[in-house]
Amino acid sequence: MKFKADRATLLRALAHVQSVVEKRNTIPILANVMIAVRDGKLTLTATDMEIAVVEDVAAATSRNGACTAPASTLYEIVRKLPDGAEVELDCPGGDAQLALRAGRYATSLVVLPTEDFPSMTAGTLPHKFALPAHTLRALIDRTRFAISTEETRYYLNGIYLHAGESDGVPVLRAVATDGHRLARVEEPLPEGAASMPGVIVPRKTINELRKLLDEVTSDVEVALSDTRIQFRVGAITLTSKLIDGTFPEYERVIPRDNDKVLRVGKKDFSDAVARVAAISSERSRPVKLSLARDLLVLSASSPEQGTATEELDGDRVKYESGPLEIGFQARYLNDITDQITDQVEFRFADGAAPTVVQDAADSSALYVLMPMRV
Amino acid sequence: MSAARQLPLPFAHEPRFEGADFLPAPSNAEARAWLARPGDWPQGRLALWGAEGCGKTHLLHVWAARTGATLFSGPALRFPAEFPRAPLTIDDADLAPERDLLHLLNAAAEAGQSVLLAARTPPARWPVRLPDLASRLRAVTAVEIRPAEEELLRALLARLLAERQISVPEAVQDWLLLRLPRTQAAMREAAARLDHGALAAGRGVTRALAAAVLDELADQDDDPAADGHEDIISATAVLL
Amino acid sequence: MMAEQAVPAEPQLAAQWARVRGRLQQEVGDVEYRTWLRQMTLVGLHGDEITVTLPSRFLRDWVRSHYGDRLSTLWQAENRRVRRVELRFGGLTLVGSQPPAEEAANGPALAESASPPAPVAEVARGEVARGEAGRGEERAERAVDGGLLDPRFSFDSFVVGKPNEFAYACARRVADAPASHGFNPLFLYGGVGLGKTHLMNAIAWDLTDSARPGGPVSVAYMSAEKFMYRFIAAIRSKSTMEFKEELRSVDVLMIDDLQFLIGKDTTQEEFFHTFNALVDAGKQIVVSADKSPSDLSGLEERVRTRLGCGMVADLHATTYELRISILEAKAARAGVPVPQKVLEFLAHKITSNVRELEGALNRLIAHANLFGRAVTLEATQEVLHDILKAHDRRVTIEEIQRRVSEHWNIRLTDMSSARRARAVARPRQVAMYLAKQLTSRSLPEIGRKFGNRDHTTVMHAVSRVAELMAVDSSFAEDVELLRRMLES
Repeated sequence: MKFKADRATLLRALAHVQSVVEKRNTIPILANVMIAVRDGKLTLTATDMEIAVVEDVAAATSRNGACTAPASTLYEIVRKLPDGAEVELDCPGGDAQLALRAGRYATSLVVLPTEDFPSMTAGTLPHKFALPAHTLRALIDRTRFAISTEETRYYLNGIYLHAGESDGVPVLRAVATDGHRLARVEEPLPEGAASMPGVIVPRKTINELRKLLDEVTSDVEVALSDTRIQFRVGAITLTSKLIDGTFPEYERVIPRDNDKVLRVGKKDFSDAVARVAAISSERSRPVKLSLARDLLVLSASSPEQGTATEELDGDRVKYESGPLEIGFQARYLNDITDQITDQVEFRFADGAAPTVVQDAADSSALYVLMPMRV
Repeated sequence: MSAARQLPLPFAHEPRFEGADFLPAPSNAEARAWLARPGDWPQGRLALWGAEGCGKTHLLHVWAARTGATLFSGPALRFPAEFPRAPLTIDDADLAPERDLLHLLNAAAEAGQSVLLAARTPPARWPVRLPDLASRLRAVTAVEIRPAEEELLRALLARLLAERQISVPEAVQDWLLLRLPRTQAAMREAAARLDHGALAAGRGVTRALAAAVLDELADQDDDPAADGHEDIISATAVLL
Repeated sequence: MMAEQAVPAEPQLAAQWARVRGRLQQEVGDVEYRTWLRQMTLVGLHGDEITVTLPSRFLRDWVRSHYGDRLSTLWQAENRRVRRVELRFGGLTLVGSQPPAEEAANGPALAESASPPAPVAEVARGEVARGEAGRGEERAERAVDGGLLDPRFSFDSFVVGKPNEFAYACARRVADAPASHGFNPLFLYGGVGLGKTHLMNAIAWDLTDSARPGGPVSVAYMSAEKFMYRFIAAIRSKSTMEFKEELRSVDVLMIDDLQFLIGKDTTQEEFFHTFNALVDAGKQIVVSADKSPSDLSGLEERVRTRLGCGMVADLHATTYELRISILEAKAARAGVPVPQKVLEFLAHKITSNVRELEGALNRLIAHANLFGRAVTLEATQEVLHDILKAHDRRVTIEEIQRRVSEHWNIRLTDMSSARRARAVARPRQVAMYLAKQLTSRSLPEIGRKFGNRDHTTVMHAVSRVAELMAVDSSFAEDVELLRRMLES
């Protein structure tokens, strides 16, 4: 294997693949990137056995072949090379080391046999569709915060992606929940996605994918089976295992009949939440919302500091139902209002029941939040 | 210390009744042997009985999946507008309206269809008023699913936790098994509470959570008669 | 039944898989293998990964946590390419491999029968799928207008005694010479399960027999419910005329359990019209009910009068002698030896009616056939305990302690005292053993009831008593006696 590539091009590709590599890995080969030239084309591959990233890189190749080398070392070296440098990599095969040359700089790296590099087979991926990168970003950005980080609830450790229907219109839905709150976002169903099974895409895959999405404006091609999903983003192919679990029947926890409606400006509300919550350093202390006709009082208390309250009145809130008191974790409120542009609409039932939150101007995203028993 | 507690989203949990998941054990061997041979049931009728949660409903579903039987629930049983064209199963058959049950038994017999009943007590002990029904019920072959063995309870708890997709360290399961009442119903209740408790706390199932669940259950179970199902004793069924 | 394994793409792989499973079965034993591992299906080898599926997530997780490492090790020993074993839920189709349909459908639940499960026939209407304990008494099925005749119910199989001889004689007469003067209508009545339906069927069998002197006659025989059902269906499909004509064209109309027509005014009316039309045309009517015509309150007076104007015959409650005769006849036909003691026991205990008596005997015989066991008095008490006992006793730990103390003549307080003398300690251990066997209390809770002892003390007691019972038969008898006393 031998090729020359532009330093910036190589660096960007290495940045993509090395972020997949597990930093604390006990299996040495998984810390490596596979560098392969086949039919004159260069590809870089990294995997943690759950996710594999393969990237085609523009390079002037002069010999076919492959080797694996430590991803982060290689990345650090290339990063420190001067901008505009031309980098040559040469690995004659066998036990020989990988030689790297750029201008007057030269080094060599220990390689591990490519046969030991785990192959992640995608198998057949019968369901294929494409969607604009910004659509995929919208699905991820508004649900990702609700993914559970509790490792033993493996079936909640990702975004549930499935085809559904909303008022008779077919939609692609992304849903995430940690058991305390739930985010459901929908976008028009891309052609070819109608028959896809519901799949749970792991958090790490979502995070890796999200990084790649910032760099493209074109469509992303998605292909999946019951067990694997593959995203093709420009020259990069990200293949991932799916979470082998059953996502809960989330529709049943979305209340339909909550009739106590509060409308409030997003900025007014989130600033007030931040101010009253500041009294307590405890993360899971509730912020209490006390509602009366066109009046919202937010309050929080701390045993050490006392109580903080803030009133939002008829100029800034609209509420026409009977009095209500309900408490939520401040950070949960903020996570949701962060997704909203201008007016927030809350729909309550009572102080112990699921509450629906939406952007008053955008029904494509829906949030359900469980209160605290105060 | 905060007195406020985060409530979890009320996700529903539907029990699954796949054949592969039924746990065979000596306590249910007799029932399984009978179910495998519907052709040998006297009058084409069989009743399974045993304590709450002992697996009757599961066996009913497995048998129905295998024979194409129609599943009825006793309390909701109404004599159907059509004569039975497939075998029948009736869960909680002791709670079925008497006349509808009688007519359905007769209709099934006439149509040559087997009938599988399930209840917590044997049909001979149901408090039935209709003499025609009572005498038919006392002639039904009743098979008891006996109290569960330790191994069965262990496997059941593991299965229930797996159904709920929560992983619980085996040491915690062992700790619970030793302290819970030795019934299937207690395993079911414990699994549900562990699931709910862990979701509310946003943590995995720990020994501390298991201990809290056990305390909750103990508070409920102070009545010594409450460790199984209530026997409904039919005065008409007393023969001795 | 072993799960047939689908043949993977490489025959070599199949052979390796068979060896892996064989080794695993040897290591874990048959019982564990059948419970957990039997339903594994090999999907194939992809790269360095072997994929095996299990039919449920639970089984998959169980196998993964309990046998996953062994599976990997065994596979690696068989095939050097294999690095990992992926256990998956479901029969995901990579290499057209599906578990056999029956295994998949039944799993272990119903597969372990004493003998292979009888295929469940497509039981279309009109096919008799009823299992009669006494086989060999089945005859070719025969349908009359209204449904199928019950093959068990003939005059030959009807056991005659004082309580039913008059009804039997009347039934025979009608079967021999329908519409004879004084026997039309024939009204059979009696309490439940005394043989009304049996006689009705017997009449119908005889009348429709092709070898009958004078040739078979046409019979419509149905229960009152069925009559009602068909009449309502006819109204719905606007075919009441056809229904009426059909019924009025038969030679003999037989209606079982007439009491179920009471309160159904329209149906009752229709029945009465049909009844009159047939009697006027000189056709035979046979009706059964749970009461005599005059006691059928709720029926119109004119209907009661017409029902009672022919022959009214009742079936009385059985006598001990009749019950014995019935049981003997039934047991003889079943071809299974039933000791006289058992027949006498049943005739004493089950006095309510013939249906329950026969039901009990049928259950004994079916149980004996299914499990290949002889019918004995002990087996009878065991198999029929649900009807012989009003309820199963729920034993409390306090009762166990009291009974055990009485039995060995020690003080009740010693059950929870700290005394460790053998004379006290042994009965205490027996009580703990019985508490474990007869209640669903947890071991720590049992320990608490015995003077706050630790659960390990209870575990020790349970195994100690079991050991002693194995070597000391008189001790074992004592414990068994106590158990029986507590349970009865």
